[in-house]
Amino acid sequence: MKPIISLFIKIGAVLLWSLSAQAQQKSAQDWINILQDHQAKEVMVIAHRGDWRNAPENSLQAIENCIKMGVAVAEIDIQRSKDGHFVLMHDKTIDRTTNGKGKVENYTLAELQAFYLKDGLGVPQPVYTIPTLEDALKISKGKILLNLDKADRWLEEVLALVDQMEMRDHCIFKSSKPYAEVKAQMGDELEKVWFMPIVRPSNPNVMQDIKEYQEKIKPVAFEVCFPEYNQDTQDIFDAVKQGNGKVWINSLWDFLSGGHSDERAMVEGKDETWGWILEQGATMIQTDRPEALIHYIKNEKQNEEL
Amino acid sequence: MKNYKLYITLALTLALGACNVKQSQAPLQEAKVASSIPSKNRAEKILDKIKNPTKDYVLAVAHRGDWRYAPENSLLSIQRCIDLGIDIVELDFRLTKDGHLVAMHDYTVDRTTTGKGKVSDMTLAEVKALRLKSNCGIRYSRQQVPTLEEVMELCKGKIMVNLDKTEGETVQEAFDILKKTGTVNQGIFKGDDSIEFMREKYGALMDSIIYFPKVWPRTKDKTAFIANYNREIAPIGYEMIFDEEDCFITDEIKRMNQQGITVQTCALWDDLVAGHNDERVLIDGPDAAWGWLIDNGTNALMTDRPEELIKYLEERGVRNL
Repeated sequence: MKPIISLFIKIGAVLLWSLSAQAQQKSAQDWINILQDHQAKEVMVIAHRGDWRNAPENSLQAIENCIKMGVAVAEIDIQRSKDGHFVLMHDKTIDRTTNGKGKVENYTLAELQAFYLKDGLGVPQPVYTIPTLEDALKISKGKILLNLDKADRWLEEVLALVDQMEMRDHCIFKSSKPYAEVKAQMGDELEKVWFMPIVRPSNPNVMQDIKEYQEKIKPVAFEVCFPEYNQDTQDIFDAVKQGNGKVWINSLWDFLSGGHSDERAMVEGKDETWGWILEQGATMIQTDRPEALIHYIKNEKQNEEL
Repeated sequence: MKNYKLYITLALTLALGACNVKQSQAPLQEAKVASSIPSKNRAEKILDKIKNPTKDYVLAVAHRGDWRYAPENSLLSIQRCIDLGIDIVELDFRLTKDGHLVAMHDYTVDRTTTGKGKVSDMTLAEVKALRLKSNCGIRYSRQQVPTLEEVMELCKGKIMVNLDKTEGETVQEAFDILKKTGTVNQGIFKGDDSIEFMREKYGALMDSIIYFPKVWPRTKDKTAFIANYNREIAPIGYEMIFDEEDCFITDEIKRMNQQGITVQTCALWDDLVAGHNDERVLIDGPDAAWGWLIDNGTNALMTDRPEELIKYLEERGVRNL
């Protein structure tokens, strides 16, 4: 081979190598494809309130961090300002997370954005302000999916904003209510969004509810919350999988995942907790430890399979 | 195209191989160090660096433990600092009604635990019944409020402990625990009060403890404050706080550098380090904040981002203990 050709091939290889390194960072479209593929082995990590350890919860930086980590979905909470703007805020008041006091709905957007978000020590940090939903959508476009929590109260308006940004396929909505109630609330929109029912073994009608959802809208996933693991829980997992849906489990707290929680994972061991969740066939996991969970799935879990 | 694939495979194999080698070498290196210097534990080596600060080592100080990882002032947040290789963990201690020192920043337990009320109105048993909250108060954890004794047992031989909130109030009580746990050389006391005040209150005890005086822009008669401390107990370190880049305090840092006294700065907030704080690292990069502080005489750097700081210091080549 002529040296010059060899050189070109080497340069090409380096370029492709750097591209393939970038390709490891999945795009929103990649996650959307995985979301629709019930057979996809890829685990989707959902970060509760964004990466709230390294930036204030529900801040733009918390979403940016999620994108960098390889999180599939950032779970964010929506409230509405006095002048009708949607902002990211978990509580109805701004007391816990900002240096202000009072209800979100009693402030205009301009007033809200004059406050600072607090860091994890409760210290207001001037570099972080309350983001609008629009800003959150903007930085997420093409990069990460969003689970819009508490949005059902203003669904029409929120969807109008989401459509304006052409990001309907980026947004996930959820509800614990049975099909009929959700259908009455959402109307035709129910079939046009990513909607995931939340189901619990404590509900005596849970199996019928799942069946009805599967017949009517065939949800891509069901969120299963269970204080303890037993046959009822297993029946739910089986029914969801038989209907070609993904199982979503929250490892946030003990009572949502039969004791297989993030804190136990850090203190007592990841195989017994996150490993157990993966063994149940869950391919969507909502966590307060996105960085550690992604590291676990990528390194420890994959090596095991090899 | 076949060739491309070959090159990519090669590159991947090499990259993966490099990672594996790095991982497998780590225990070997540790074993080497352990066998060549068996006499000094890590805490003793850290203390040597505080006593004899050098340009090739910057001490990493974690504010309230690694509170991003686990609740502030919890044993889990301290263990994480030990695992990260932090040199000094800064923690806060307050006295319960029945005379136990417990790790708690605020006067009340309201912000950081499931309970309500002042630490000083509660017994140790009452404090122990509470659970610490994750930062931001998102939810409670399984972690309890640790006592100073539990903290020192965990840290023994591994990491230095900066005892905040004991200043001028509970130095004697804290010292008794250090003595009991055999960790007198691992506790760093600090405070705003003058040596005259501390002598009056604690007498000869001031000669038995490691003490970092804190110098603020608001400290009265700074020259005498520092000179009197140097004359009386010759502190091995000072905590220096400044809200402007060029001021008496930054000049004083230079003098301390020449005298071989450790200078601790706190990159937590704007007005403690003239804007060269942790959040600036996110915006302008670490050189603009941590780098500036090190270039301007910091020997011990307190941060709310210990994991990132350690990485940065390693890249700078100032972490060879």
